[in-house]
Amino acid sequence: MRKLLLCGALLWAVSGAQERPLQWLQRAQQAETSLAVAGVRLTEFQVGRAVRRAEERFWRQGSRAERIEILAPPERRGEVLLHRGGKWIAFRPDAKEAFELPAKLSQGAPLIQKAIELTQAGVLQAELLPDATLLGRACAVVRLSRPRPTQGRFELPAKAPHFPATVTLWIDKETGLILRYEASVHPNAPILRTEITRLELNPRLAPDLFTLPPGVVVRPLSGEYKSVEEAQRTVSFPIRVPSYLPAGAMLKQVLVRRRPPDNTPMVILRYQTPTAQFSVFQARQTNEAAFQRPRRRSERLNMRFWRDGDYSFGVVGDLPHAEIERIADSLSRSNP
Amino acid sequence: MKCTRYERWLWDELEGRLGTAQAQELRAHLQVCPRCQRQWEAARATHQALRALPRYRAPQQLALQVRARIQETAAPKPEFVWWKRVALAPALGILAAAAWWGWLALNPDSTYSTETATAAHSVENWVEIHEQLEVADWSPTPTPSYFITTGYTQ
Repeated sequence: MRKLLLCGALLWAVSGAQERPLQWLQRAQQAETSLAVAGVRLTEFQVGRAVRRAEERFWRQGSRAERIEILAPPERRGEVLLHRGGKWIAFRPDAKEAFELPAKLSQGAPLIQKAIELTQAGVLQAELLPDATLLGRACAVVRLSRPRPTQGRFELPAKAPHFPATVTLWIDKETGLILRYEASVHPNAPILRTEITRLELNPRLAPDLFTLPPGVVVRPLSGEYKSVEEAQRTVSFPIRVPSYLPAGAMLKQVLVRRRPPDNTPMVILRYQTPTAQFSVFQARQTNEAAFQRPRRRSERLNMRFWRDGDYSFGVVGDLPHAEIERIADSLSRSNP
Repeated sequence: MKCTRYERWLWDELEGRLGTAQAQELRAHLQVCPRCQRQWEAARATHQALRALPRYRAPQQLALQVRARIQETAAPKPEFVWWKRVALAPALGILAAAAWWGWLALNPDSTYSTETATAAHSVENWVEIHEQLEVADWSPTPTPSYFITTGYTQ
């Protein structure tokens, strides 16, 4: 009888442990990196007034290879993203050139890995929400959130490593696959939602799915650069770099966007500190009357915009206002 | 240029005169174009307001009077027709200008010229671009990052 009770207690403990959110995350991580899957997924990201939608077909061989074919928006339909050997290549099947993306693009497995590490370190709180059903499959629902200390009636931002305020995952109980993912970068701030709308488990993945068509030449993607120096070669005006940076700030991304109709370049330098992000914008804008500060105000973002000669500048980020001002001042003092 | 075509379709869609394919194309465009989305909202509100107005049937006597007046003026004097045609164009112009002015007054975000639109849009967009990049960092699929880097629509 005692043995029976012990076995029962052990089974209960094991099944209870299985239900723990961290273990669901670990299962999801394993599924993301090892399973062969295909299907269709829809991503919506809500920013400002607009909700952007992207629909794509995907074929994934664990973390080894992935192919994505864009279905929507209609303007981008048919474009292919190919991941193999740690690189992402973008191309159109009918084109003779493909473009290598310089940055490490976000993917499910590294995100989950970071979530596991932060949960284990006690930085993130993980909780199990009531089960749900997606695509007819039972899902465990795990919510990760940053604890937000409160003082009086005002909430103070948590000094946690960079991670969204909340992330909710719908994890297929049978396979561990993430069928739905929702992230809110900051409380009451932009939301990103990705959901698999069609799923095929263990599909036949032909090797040519993950290879470039023959004769296609691979070039670096214009628009994103590994360094300011590299971007400078494509921009006619001298790119200003802030001489003051907050503690721990690192340059994360260098982008050059061309504005229609005359392809005027606009440079974006993205920086990340251990707890915040900010972007430095600069563009040539000869029409002074056309320089208008944004009407929209943000509760969580601080920003400063100014003009200097024919150039417009801006610093936007979730740093304290004084820090944004200091960065902007250091940029103003730089020689154009 | 592209938006102009969709602007023309807005009222056709509201009146149910747009074909299925065109309607789908219009809906897809509205999802990606905030400016047309605002125009759509304004047109829809106007359309609903017009439909909500009470309808009155003209008295039978009025119809008879109008028919009688039409018969009286069936053979108009040439100089009157000439004057009416000349007056029609500026009158329509004034009406169109008034409508455009009203639209701008009701929609301060809308812009007057392509040049202003492009420039103002860029600075206005800087906050939005920063937020888009923030969000894309946390996507389990690389597509949002790729779209933001290369322009959501190309």
